[in-house]
Amino acid sequence: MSALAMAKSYDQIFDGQKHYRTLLQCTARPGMIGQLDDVLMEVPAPLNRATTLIALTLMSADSSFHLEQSAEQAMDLLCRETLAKPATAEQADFVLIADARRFEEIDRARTGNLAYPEQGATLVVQVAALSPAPMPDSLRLTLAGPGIESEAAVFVSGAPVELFEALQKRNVEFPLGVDSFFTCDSLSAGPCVMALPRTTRVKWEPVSEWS
Amino acid sequence: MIENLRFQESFNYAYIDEFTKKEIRRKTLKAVCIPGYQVPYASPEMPISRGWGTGGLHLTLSLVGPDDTVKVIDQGSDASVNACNLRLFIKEMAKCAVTFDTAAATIIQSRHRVPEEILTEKQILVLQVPQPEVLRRVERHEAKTRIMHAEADYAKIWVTLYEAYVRSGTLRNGAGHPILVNGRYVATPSPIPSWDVPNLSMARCLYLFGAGREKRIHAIPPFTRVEPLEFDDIRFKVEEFIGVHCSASGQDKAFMDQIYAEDFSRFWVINDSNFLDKVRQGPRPSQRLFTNPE
Repeated sequence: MSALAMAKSYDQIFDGQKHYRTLLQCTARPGMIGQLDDVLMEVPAPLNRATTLIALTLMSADSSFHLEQSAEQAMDLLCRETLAKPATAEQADFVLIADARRFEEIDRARTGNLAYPEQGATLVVQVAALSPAPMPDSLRLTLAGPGIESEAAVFVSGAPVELFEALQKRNVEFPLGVDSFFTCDSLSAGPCVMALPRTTRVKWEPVSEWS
Repeated sequence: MIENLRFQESFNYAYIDEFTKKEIRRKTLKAVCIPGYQVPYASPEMPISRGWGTGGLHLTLSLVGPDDTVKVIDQGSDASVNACNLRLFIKEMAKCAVTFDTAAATIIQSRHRVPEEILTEKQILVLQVPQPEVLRRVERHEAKTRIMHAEADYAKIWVTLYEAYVRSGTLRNGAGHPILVNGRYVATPSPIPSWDVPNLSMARCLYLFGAGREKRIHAIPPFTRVEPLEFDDIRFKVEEFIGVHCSASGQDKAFMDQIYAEDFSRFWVINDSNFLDKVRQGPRPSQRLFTNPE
């Protein structure tokens, strides 16, 4: 995509629709890496562009989100643009995890109750990179479950093994659980997203060397 | 020619306002995450009555963009009044392309049928559901059916299947045979014939179910195990059209409608209108056919 083609500001109707379709396809096919078309937008740290686009697509005044308290500018942006309310990790509909290495909110996120399992939170976890091909210092995730024909593989870098252990612990009691989006900003592909719904069974192994 | 003034620019793109669309979208994503579970949603007011396809319309309008190609079918037919009206409405509101061709559509909204032709990864089938609660026939109270789903307590639905067998000798109890989705939730496939039920399992496309009057969305993601409820000794069977050929195309192995002529003689015709057009005009599109157990 050329710089000229990117130079348009966010359109809540049409960009929102396109991004929603990407998120829906990703959720229906875990392990698939979806590209969100980039838009002209200032994104304050610690948010990446993909997380911000997900927030703009899904969050509105009747939803709440959690983000670490120190991220004041980012909170302002999300509140202003989506009208969503900040909340604690225990109460939020969307739990945004800016750095996958600090993931303790996963243990506090809502998992819903048996009568209403959809009240489980949606996590948005920012990682360094997502790729269908092996990367150095990454984790190879082997996925199975609904949406996957037999097995899918995806490589994630910048996320520790403990994060996936915590996620697995949270999702052990189906239908209760949390649904996650993993996001990164890639230099070549722009904002990227990969979904791991609560139904996906994840196995992981570290990839240490370039293969 | 009379100009149609009803659809001039006084509404948001795709009719529903963005705030409400976001709510439908969030709920749809949750429905995909919990296959077969009915997610409650707001079900906004539509210019058609609830129970006439509003659930399907909500889903379609929350999905559709100007690049999409939409097909609407009602009981297999592109040409029925309901399908025509919904198609016109979606086209005028979303400025998208519309088609009769099953293979060319990106979003297919359907009532009571899954198309015969195999749907692909790029397609989403939206089904209109009159009664999403499969347990409603055996339990009147929503609070109780919720607990039954929570506890995966489906004993009563098994009893109705047994009763259907005792009365009629088959498990068939009208359209919409109950299905077990991903081994957890019993759900309704909407009132599709048994012929279509095996096509829900391990499909390549995404199935979304919208019930506007009952305010529920549920979903079957692609490559998800869907088993029609059956007993070990009495198996689920699809409709058999033995010795029956379509009077318009001479073909068989498709879901057939029986039609009465004026002299009360009966003939059969393929129900899926686009499939019928295709088999009459050229090579037969590929289908997934289910073989009944002995």
